[in-house]
Amino acid sequence: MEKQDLLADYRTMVLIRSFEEHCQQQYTRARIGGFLHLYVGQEAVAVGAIGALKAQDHLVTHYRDHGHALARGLEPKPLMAELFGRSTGTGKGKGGSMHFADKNKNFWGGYAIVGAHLLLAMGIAYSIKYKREVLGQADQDGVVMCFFGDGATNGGEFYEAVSMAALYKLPIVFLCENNEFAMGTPLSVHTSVTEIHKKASPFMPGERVNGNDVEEMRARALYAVNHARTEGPYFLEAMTYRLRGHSAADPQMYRTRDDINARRSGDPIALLKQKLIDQNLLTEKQAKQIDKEVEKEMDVVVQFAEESPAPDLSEAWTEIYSKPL
Amino acid sequence: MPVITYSEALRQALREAMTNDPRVFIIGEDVVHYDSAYGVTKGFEKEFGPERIKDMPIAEAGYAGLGIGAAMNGLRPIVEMMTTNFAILALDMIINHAAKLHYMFGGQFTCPIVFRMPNGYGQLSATHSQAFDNYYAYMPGLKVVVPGTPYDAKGLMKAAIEDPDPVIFIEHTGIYNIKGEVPEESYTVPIGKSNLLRDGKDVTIVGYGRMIPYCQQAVETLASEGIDAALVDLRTIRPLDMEPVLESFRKTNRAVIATEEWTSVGVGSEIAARLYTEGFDHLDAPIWRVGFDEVPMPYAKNLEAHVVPNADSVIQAVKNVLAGKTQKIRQQ
Amino acid sequence: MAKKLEMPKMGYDMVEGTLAKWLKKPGDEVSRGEPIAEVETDKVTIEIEAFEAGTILKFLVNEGETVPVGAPIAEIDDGSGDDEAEAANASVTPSSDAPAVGEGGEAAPPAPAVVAQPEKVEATPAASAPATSTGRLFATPAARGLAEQRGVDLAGLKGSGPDGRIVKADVLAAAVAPKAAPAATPAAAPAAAQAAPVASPVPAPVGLIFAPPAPNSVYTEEPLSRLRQTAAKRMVESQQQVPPFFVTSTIEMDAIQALLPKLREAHGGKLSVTELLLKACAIALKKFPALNSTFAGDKLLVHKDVHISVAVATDAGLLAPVVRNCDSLSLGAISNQMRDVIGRTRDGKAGLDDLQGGTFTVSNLGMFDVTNFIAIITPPQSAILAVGSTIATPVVRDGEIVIRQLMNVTVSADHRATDGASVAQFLVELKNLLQNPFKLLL
Repeated sequence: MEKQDLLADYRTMVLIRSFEEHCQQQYTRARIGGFLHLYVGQEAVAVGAIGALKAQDHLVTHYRDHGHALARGLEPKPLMAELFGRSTGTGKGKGGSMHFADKNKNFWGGYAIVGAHLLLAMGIAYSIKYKREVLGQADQDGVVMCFFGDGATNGGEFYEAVSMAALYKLPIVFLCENNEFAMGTPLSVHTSVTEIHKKASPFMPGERVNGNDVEEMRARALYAVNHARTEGPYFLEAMTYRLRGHSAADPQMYRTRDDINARRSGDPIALLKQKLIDQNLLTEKQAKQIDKEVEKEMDVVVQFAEESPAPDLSEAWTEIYSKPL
Repeated sequence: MPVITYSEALRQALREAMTNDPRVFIIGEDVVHYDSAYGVTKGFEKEFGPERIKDMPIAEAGYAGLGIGAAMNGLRPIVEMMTTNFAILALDMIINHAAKLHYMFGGQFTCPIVFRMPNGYGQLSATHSQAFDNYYAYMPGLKVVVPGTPYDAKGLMKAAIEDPDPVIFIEHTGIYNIKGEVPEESYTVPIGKSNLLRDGKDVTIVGYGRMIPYCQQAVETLASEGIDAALVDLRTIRPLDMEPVLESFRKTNRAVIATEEWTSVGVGSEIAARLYTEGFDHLDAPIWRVGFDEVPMPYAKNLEAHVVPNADSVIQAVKNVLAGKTQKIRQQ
Repeated sequence: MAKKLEMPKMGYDMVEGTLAKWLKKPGDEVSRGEPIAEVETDKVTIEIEAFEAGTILKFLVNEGETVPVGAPIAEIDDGSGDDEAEAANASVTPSSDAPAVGEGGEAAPPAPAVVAQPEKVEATPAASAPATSTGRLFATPAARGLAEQRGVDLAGLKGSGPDGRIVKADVLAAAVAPKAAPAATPAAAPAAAQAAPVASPVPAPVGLIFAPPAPNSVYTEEPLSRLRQTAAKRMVESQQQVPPFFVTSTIEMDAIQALLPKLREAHGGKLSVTELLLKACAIALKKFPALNSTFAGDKLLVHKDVHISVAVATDAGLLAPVVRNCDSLSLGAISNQMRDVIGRTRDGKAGLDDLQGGTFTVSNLGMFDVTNFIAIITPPQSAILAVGSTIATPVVRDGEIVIRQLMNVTVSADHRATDGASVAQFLVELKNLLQNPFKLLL
């Protein structure tokens, strides 16, 4: 990987972290409502994996979708505006935290029924193949990357998705972010197969990767995407750890502060920073400068959201159908 | 004009869409190797090839999701659920996804998909003899059509496939073989438009789907007894078009609602509520509703026949309304 | 600079939180993200974090206290070195250690920003259902509608529906039946109306029609003074004989309010908006004399002078003493005369001369917090001005939202004597005078 790539990835990860911290802050100030699931600690998975996608590839994800949106290159302003419930948001203030999307970037959105979106991702992959083989659209060589958590691998929809993706040899990468908890239920309590990639092994090749190492994540994602493009579905299990609660209002009874502190050594941003410093690609001073720039950008982002108008009340009645009768 | 079956009318619409638009494809259980459980798409694989019609694993959520994803990405899938009883395994896909996508992403995505599914019974007992029309009619974001005649079956199917929104298309095994006049040429019947099938001055009968043939029989019999009943076919149960119903009701002042579903909390309940609210000043007698008796469907032939509605149930209800009697719905 | 830490929202349904435990004390340094307190919601206990690194200046909420989301709970100095603010804070901090709540008002934490107030529930008078001894009449909505349309009395019908319910067909049959039955009904009605007063214990004063109370109602009897009996008759006559119409206008009173203190000083006595209103009305009435007239069948008697009746609430009832020659007197003279005659009226010493001969009336309920109201014309006058309260109101002026003192006035006028356009012009003139009050001084 080139020097510039890693530095850019570092900056994106810092941006995601800062975005999330500002979200938490705005949530506690009651500017953001509903549920708020933060991505703090998992940044390397999104930045590493989504960086392996090309423009024509597709991204489908779960409700903890802020990091994926930013890693896919969505502007932070409309995302924050969506969280504030403003008309300038990605969903015009109708979707909220769990439903970011941008059709123009083939980012098909965050979905909030755990496990269900694997089937939509499989369907999108099916349509790519259909367009290429039945409609004769040779340029249809996109790959779908579908994110989900370890908690999503126990329901029937997971098995329906991997089974049918394999049956139809679809161009799809299933990417499980194993952060060791299904909301508050520990991995060993919710599944007997704790090496999640093995659950899909009868259907497709796969592997476990270090999701806190953005370099390893990128390398394996590139492999997986290439496999999906040329041969069929591939499964990645990215090991990571969520450093904040399941949602902004999580008392975290299922783990102690010491548990979390013990895992801070795996903080992907700290790890990458040290690596860049060791390789003389970054100095402490430059790192501080990046932090400062990102903070400044976030102030503008929050201000944009705050100053954006709330949706007009008539918006409640639009887009129920795309063709009203 | 040719007289063909309801099933053949559907088949004509499906074939026409498959021929005209390569984005249209059919997926479902036993649509190819078994050659279609109810024969609607019999022989399609030979005609259109294995990629245009595909047998699905018995994983209703799975292939519903496949269809929704494909629809989002610009294809026009027709998902055949073998029966409405099995389709409830895919409710999450239909209700949490197909119905919501357009709205919750601020209009970025559309979901042009058709879910076909038949109601029906015939000594199939409790889990295979149900109707869930109200589940779908309850949900903003869905369009729900239930044709009751061969003509509407063809025209509504064409409209459903062309529609850019998710359409639930409810059929009925009991009327696949009824016959009616159906033009050979292409046409659509608009979604969201009720249809006055017969005008009358004594009572307005409101129905849809399987009950329409029963209601037509009932109207004939009543006419021979000097009772002049109007009949309105809703055709679409979401979004509802009440105007033709109200227009007739304002003349007759009396109504019978005939739906093949459990009566409580059903589509018929909504029609009754609308008549009581929007038609209040025109009400001249308590409304009667016709539906299943509120029991799980029994197997024994005599028990089953006892609890399902038919033309006689409609006739009896009309006579009760004309006598000003009040209906009591029994739940246990 | 001192920054406020607020009670955080820790869940989509959280509206308030209880400060369970402070994990730091004033003077402690905290870093961003460091837990600073434990907060209990109705569901869980959660640690809350400092969003600013700095030094805790003071706590604004005690342990165990419940405050709404968003209420400040602590002050943190972020070390940015805003001297002025720090100096200000330094003077407040010394006694900040655990302020007593409820004792020593100064030390008590600031009131939460949001104070829940019980919703004001206005009692609605119970609907008085027409009590008929026969009970409810059962007729379908369609039957009722048709009966009204065709003038069929449902009470005279026998219903053909279950339990005698009247249905549309019954009404149709009655509507085409010979008129015998309907003819009997009107004849019966007056008889009943006449019977009622006889049965009632209340003697009917001559010339006044009224509805007796329901047979079983409980009440005390309060005899009316002659004055009130006369007023009652006048009001009924007005309603029966005068075709009124109503025009409302809003007047900015800022200039008047600015001027009043100076006028009082110059006058050397009491002076209120009412006198200014009288003067303004007098000037405007001279321009639009139809409002200062009496309708007399085939002619209009236009009064030469402006004598204004001023409605006054007294122990004896509503009276309207007359302030004479308002058109030719100065403000000071009007005020002296008005206070004189009102005083006599309130003391019960007013003579007939004080109460008769008005050509126009001003009724000011401004002191009672009314937005506007409509007054009844007192014949033989042709018009009356009803004045509401002056209320500070945001309005748009030159594209800006500004606060103005607004007063609504409504003219009730006799349509036989004048018309809408004239009254509207009268109001424009009145408005012009009151918004440029120096004209009242000329």
